[in-house]
Amino acid sequence: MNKAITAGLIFLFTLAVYQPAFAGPAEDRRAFVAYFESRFPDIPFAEYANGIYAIDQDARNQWIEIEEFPPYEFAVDQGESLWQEKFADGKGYSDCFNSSKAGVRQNYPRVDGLSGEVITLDMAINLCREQHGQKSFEFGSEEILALSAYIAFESRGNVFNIIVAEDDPQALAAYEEGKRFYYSKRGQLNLSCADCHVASAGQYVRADRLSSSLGHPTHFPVYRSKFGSMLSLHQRVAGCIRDVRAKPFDLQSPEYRNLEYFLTYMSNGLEANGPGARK
Amino acid sequence: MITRLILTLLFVSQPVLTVSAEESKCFPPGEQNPASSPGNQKQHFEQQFSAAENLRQAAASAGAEWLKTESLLISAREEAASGNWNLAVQSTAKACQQAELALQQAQYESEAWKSRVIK
Repeated sequence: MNKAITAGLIFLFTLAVYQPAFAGPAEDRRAFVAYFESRFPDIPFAEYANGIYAIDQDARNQWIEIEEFPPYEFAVDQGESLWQEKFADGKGYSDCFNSSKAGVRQNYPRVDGLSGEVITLDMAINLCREQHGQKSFEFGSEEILALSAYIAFESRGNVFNIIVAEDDPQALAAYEEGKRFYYSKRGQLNLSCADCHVASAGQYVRADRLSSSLGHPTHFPVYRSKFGSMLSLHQRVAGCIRDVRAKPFDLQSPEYRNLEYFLTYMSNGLEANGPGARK
Repeated sequence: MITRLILTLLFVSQPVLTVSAEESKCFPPGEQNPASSPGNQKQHFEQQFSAAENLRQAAASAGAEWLKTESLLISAREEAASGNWNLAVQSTAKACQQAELALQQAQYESEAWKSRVIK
């Protein structure tokens, strides 16, 4: 009897000790949002969907001018044409994504119930093609970025609602992996995503200000003036990984997909406003 | 709650792939590997290269490889092919050191990241 009580006390003590380390997704998100609200008290929550333009007024003024003739329009038009094409079996993307009118972008990434893998929108596009006997697009290709831009455009105004079910071990494991990636320092410069986009958000790095991670994924894909082309979220992350002098992972690798899952969950409640335009 | 506890314990004990000390010893450019015959530059380079490549692969498996480690090894191989043993050994030593540090970083970060989570 005494042994049972002792074992019970040890178990309860273990739970108490580990409590801070396994705060659930909902607690993580509340703390994440609260951090930025406290850091930038003048920025309304909805503004974080605009990324750095919520923080940097000069960049925002330029962006507003750029939006007069949005540079991503060509990609959206191309994406619309691709969306309307029928596959060899007579089906199309709308058969995979139900209806574009209800919005699609805000529900990705999600965890596949069978494989337990995080499925991003780019992956879902390719899965749709494969399901209907079509060849996959290369990740980062013009076609997949155009389709993704069109879907994002059609989903504008819908609120992100990424689900991490607390009774789903696969979803929780993917979320935890993404969180671990986000907070881990890497590369020769020994920096984590959080070092730049939490601790130093709003600070200058050379001539540019660092964006906050709250709202990071809402506006992707983006047109990057620097490259004169569209860019996916994973391509942007790969750029950051390279900047800290670590070897980037493959686009749509489990590492980036889990990170996207974590980051997008953190941005739940913000509007999908892609595609975006960035320097 | 229990699922989260199990997941946490799994992450707490997540191992970082390591290689044995013998396989992975990095020698500075001027220092001779005692396992190679004195004056045998090719043998010295190959042993150094093998140690560096083992460490690089271990760092890559841990998801922690640095940006230039592989390209340093490629250029080391090219220098060796041209008979430039000193340059080849220098590049290999740099790659070896980078891979060693990347592994140390991964080992440290396997726990340290938790202290940075916003609470």
